[in-house]
Amino acid sequence: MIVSLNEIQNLIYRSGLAVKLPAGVAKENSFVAVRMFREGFGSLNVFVKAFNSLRKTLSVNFDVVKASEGNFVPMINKRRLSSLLVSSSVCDLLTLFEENDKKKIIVKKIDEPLILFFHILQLSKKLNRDFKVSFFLQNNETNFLISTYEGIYYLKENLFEEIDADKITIENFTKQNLSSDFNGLNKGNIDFFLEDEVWLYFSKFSDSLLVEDSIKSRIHNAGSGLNDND
Amino acid sequence: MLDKICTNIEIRSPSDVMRLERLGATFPTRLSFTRRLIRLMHRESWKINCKKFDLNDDGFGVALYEVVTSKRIYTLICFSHYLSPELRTDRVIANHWDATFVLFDGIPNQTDIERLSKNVPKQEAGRFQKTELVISRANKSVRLFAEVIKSLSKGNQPDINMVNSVGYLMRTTAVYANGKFGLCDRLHYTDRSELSHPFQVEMLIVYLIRLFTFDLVDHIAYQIDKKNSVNLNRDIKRHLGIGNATGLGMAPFLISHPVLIHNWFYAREVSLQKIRSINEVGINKLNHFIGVSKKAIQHAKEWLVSDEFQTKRNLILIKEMYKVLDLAENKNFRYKNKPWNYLFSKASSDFGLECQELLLSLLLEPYPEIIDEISEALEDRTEEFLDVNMTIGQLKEIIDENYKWALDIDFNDPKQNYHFWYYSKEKLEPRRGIRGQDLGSEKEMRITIAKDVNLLRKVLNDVKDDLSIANFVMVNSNFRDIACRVQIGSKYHFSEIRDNIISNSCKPVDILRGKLAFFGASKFDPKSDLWTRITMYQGAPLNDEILSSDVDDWCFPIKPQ
Repeated sequence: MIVSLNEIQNLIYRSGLAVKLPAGVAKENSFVAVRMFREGFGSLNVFVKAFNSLRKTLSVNFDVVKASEGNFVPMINKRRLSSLLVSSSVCDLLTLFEENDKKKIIVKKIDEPLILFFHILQLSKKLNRDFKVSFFLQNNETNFLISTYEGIYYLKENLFEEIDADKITIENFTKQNLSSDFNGLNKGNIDFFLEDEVWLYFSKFSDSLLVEDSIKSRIHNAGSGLNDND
Repeated sequence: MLDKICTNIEIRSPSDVMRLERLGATFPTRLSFTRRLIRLMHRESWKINCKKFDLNDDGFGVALYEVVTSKRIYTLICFSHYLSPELRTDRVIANHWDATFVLFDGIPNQTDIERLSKNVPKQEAGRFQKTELVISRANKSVRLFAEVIKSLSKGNQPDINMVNSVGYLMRTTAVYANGKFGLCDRLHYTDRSELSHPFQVEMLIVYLIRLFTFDLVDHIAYQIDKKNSVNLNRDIKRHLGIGNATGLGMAPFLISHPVLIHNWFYAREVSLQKIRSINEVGINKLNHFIGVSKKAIQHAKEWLVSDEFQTKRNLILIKEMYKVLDLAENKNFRYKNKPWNYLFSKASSDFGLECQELLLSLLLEPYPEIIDEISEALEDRTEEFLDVNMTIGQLKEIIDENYKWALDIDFNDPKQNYHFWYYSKEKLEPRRGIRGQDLGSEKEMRITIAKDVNLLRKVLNDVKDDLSIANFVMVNSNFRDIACRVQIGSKYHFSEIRDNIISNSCKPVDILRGKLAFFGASKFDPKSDLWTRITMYQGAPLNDEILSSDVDDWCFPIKPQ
């Protein structure tokens, strides 16, 4: 179905609240979902996976002590790191970096790297700064995405389909260093299409925040009586 | 944000302005969105014409109104339906209406109209596309609609007192835009000068619906008696607006859009400050003020409400406004230092809130050259994020300085923690329940700013001042949202309603009036603490009057003679 960005934002925000994400974190994830659509990623499948992972506790929050040193790992061994929970904090630490800082943030075993990447893209816009995000894949291959104020630059076109990194590093980057091998990602169509099953998946969460009406609430909680014809 | 101006007259404090009691006394001003839209129509010579009026003898069918702006064309598509009496309710809980509407971006083709004919009548249950900007629905006024047709069909004009007592032929019960139900997102038209201003697209559809109601009564009366019927008199048409019933649905908006709300109230307060700072008042400006004040007094006399409390307030308002008028008509008034400041200070010390707020509105009227520029800068184009570089010490200071009003509330007192706000499953609209009595408090909406700030400040007592917010929220992510809110409050001083919206004494109708006045609503007719009837565009020029020179002279309309 064709949806509006406002609907996507509300759906992810309210679904986030429904699965007990802190309000600020839910809100930032909802902005990221909108950003994904605006950049041409007409799917919320990564969010479906991230929500599933979190609900089944396959993904968990991060170890706070290690995180304060710039090393984000799951707080429970053998679990994945929840991209929904960790991404805001990763961006907070990146914000504390000076522009010429050579430090790197390391994120290990994140469940949906793309969600983290779009959080960083939002941060690029907010700070007007560029970041290089390196994905270390299981076959020892490394790929890069460059996040800039203007949008995304990439080396390998199908990277977005196969991002499944055990380790991600994020560091400052200067766009002037961008080699000609990198391509800018074109923004997608203005129509935002969402699969019915994804809409239903999130609607179920979102609707769980709604309160059933009763005869009393119909009469009193919205205004006056049932009929106020004039 | 508007530039601050240097003047020795201080802007009113947010602690005074942003209180519920004062919001509940707000009046429309030159800054109001309906006023601004009419000025824009005039400035850009918009043309609004009925392009299709395919209604049967009873007035049921489809009508199209085309709006030609300087750059684009918009079309109102009206679906007029038969509504059986047992289905008639003007509440938001209704599922059927006398008429349903959509504002289309461009000129719809037959396929569009057919698609929309299946969806627009369903309103919230329909699906829309980005070519559709706004949907709305309205019901005929049971008190007035049939009476007007009866009179017109017999060749008579309706009784003007009856017209005035109702004020509209139809009343909208909802106006939806900004991506709801698949409608076009606001961000897709914020770069259009005609729609970038807050709520302009919503105000446009309401204006067009008003035109439709006039054509509808003329049409039905004519079909009843083609020989003897007459059209509704132009002056009476001008005195008719569009009704609206507004309940809780609108209230949380003011809390969830802090920067936007700051822009509105700050603009109004800067406007007042500028006018109060004027050293000398010319005779023309004084006469303009006196003229519009007399009109406002008459308007208040014709403002008929059933609510006892509001009736008493109106009587006091009229009495006090006569005193204001006496002061302004005194022969020495013009020779005082900063006469408007003298007048406003006097009203602030001696008169009630309704009088003060009405006076504010009246003081802006003679000065379009100052105010109208300010009215062009009310939208919110900022994106506010949590500043994680800030230290906890700084955050504490901000809270202590700007949120004292919230810290003073004792949320352990059940009266202060009495209500909760939630979304109704049936209508997806905000509702208010009583904690401990009504079901759903665990699903409370996240709009309890005072309570959340209160809790945050208590937690911060045990946190070191030199810690960064980044490190604080890493451990306390539940406070991420409210910490950001506090930062917004420090930059935008008019962003918070400085009252407890979950206390047992909170009257949501005060929030509604504050917002509706910015829309340009008048004749507030509170029906309970939770909802109010209003009238929009009463006195506004008709579509063929947009180009006339007195197009902006329609505030505080009074009965035609």
